[in-house]
Amino acid sequence: MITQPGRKPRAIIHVDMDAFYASVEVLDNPELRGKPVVVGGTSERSVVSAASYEARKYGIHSAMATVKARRLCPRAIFLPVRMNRYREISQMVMDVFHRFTPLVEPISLDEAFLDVTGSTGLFGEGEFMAREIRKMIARETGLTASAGVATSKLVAKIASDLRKPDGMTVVEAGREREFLAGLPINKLWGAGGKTIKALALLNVEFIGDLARLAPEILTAKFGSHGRHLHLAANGIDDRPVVPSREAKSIGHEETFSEDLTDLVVIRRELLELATRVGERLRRHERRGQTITIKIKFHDFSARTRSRTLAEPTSDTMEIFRQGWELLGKTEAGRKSVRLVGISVSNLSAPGSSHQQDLFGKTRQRERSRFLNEAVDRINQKFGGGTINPATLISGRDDR
Amino acid sequence: MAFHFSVAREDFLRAIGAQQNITSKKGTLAILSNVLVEVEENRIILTGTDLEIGLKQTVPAEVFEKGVLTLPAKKLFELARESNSPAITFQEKEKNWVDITAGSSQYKLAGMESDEFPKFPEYDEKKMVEVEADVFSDLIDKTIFSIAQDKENMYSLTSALFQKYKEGDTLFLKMITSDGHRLTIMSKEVDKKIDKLDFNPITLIPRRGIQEIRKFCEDKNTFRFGVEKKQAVLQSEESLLIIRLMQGEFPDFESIIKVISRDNVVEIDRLRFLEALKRINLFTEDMFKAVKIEITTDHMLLTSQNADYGSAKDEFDVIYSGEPLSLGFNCRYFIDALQVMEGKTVKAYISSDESPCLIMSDDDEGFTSIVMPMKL
Repeated sequence: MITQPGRKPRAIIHVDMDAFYASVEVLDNPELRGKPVVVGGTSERSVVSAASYEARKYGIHSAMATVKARRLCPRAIFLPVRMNRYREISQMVMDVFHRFTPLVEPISLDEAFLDVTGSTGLFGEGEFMAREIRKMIARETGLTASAGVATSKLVAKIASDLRKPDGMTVVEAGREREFLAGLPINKLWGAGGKTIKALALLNVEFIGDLARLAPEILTAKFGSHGRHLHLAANGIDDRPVVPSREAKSIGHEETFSEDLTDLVVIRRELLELATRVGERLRRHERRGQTITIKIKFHDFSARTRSRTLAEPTSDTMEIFRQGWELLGKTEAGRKSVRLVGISVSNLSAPGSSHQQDLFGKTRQRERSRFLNEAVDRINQKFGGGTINPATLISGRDDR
Repeated sequence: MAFHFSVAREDFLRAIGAQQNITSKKGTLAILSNVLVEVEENRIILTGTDLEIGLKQTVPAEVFEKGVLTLPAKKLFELARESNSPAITFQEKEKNWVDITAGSSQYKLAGMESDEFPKFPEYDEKKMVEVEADVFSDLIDKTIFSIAQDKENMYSLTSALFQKYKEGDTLFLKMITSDGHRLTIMSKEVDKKIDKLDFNPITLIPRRGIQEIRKFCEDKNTFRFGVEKKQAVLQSEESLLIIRLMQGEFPDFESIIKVISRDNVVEIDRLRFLEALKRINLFTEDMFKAVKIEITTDHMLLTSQNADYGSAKDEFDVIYSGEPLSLGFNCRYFIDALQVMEGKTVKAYISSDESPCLIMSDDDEGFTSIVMPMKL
């Protein structure tokens, strides 16, 4: 066991809602209970966002193309994504977590890490708290959650996955290595397809096999990733639970109903996404310094390109301009594009101070800030999209 | 002809150390990571370039056979650095292999033909005048820190603006740098004979060029300097440095200085201010290093806040009789300026949180720093 002397081992709980989106749909429409339910985009080209356990029996899983899911189970019930509803329920779940500890790190709407080390005196052991949390979630939302309790995020996450749905696994302090040893290597965080193949050549099938390998062999083969693997396989993970009240990045992406090759059209889509990102940034009083674009091509190959600006921005046109330049560094246009995404990260705290310019750039920036704010106010009052950049007015550019 | 020569390690290390700075950048042309080694009577000439900057150096040598070849600069530098032998011998073999002997160590180093090595630019010796190295070092040391780092900003700000001007009968050289948030100016009085020196309407020396000029100034009292349309040239007995100038505009900094109000002045003990800022900086946020400065009659209060750690506060006496002021600044900008300034007392002309602040000292004539406040 790895603990620092004089410090008690941490108590980390990982809670993961069971087939969350699909379960919410069943909750809102009890007739669906016991049937294969698939939540995802409605077009022929979209992918599965969530599948109920009944649907999973047919081999359907998230990120699978909807078309394929339909083939696997034609009688499954396909439903559109209702993000607002999921968010609502997610908030109820997060509220439950916060009754036990302020150290809640949400990973997504349906999953979070909790560090309850400091609360064990108040609420009993981690295991007890995890049980209580699951009970409260069931009582208050009608949904089931699975949980893992361990001394680290790594082990807690692996544990929560073990007895899904509606299950719980507790790994006691000092038994992490033993617990991991018997699990297949694909359960390990950081071990993707390529790594698993490479490890197979070293006769590594279970995490225990990996733990026994000399770290030098791993570093020689995988570089710094090898060191991660060695530590992970031995259940060593010091990453803290970081309560993130604030988003780390703000972004939007769009999968098109047909692959796009026309750069004029792609440009317009990017502008639309940038407009939404800019609005969200300003609504939350944030500015971001790093712009990232993501492109997925017709053959599902993907590219991301990013750039860090001299100063953080929330200006729609600035975000768009940077995104467009980044897009020029990809094969977009030469290869047809299936998805475009743009995000802004490296965010400054809301309302934080900013450096003024010496050569009048500030004034120009003030102007675009006023413009953005005016547009935001109008859109808030009359509905999103009332005022948009001219190229986004539909019909205009068709001729 | 296959060369064969011997050089003193110390001389060679100094020369190749300067070369590998220029050549070691990852270039597209493999040959650019090599130095050209030309072996002549009693000396070798090393040339390196990244196409922006070119450096030619002469090193005295005992020459047994003349010749020319290019060799990897970084490896030469490393083997000279690791060697403890007073002399290093180079002997060219077949197929561009060179045997290098340094004490008990022997190396075989692969060279490349010199044909593909870029031609060293021509320059006009008649345009050059003798200058003092100290003048250049001082101009650079006092301004280099505010050259813009990145190219997202105005591109030309990644260079220093270099000027010559006259006030009455007195001649000055002046260097101006800015990153868009602050501006630093240093002027030095120079000998009248420098008036012969031509400048372009806008002479912009890129950051890397400035760094190389600064190194060139070390261990020299004087050197010859010239500015041509596209390049600046520095020449001493053993070295020749050519820097390609940047073409572009520089913001109109003079009109900014003109409009800064001189009514409201704070007189501050330079070292006291500098120390306080360094301490306050421990608790600023990483991105902007914001320090809040509150000035009341004869008193200055500095505070900073950091979301992760907490806050810091420091206060001391100044000379001030104006209205109370409260503004935000990037701590680093003041620290950089105060660190290079001379004199016990500095004068800061501050009027509002929207106009630039001017920092000068009676004991450091020629130095001016302008810093734009932050919106807190």
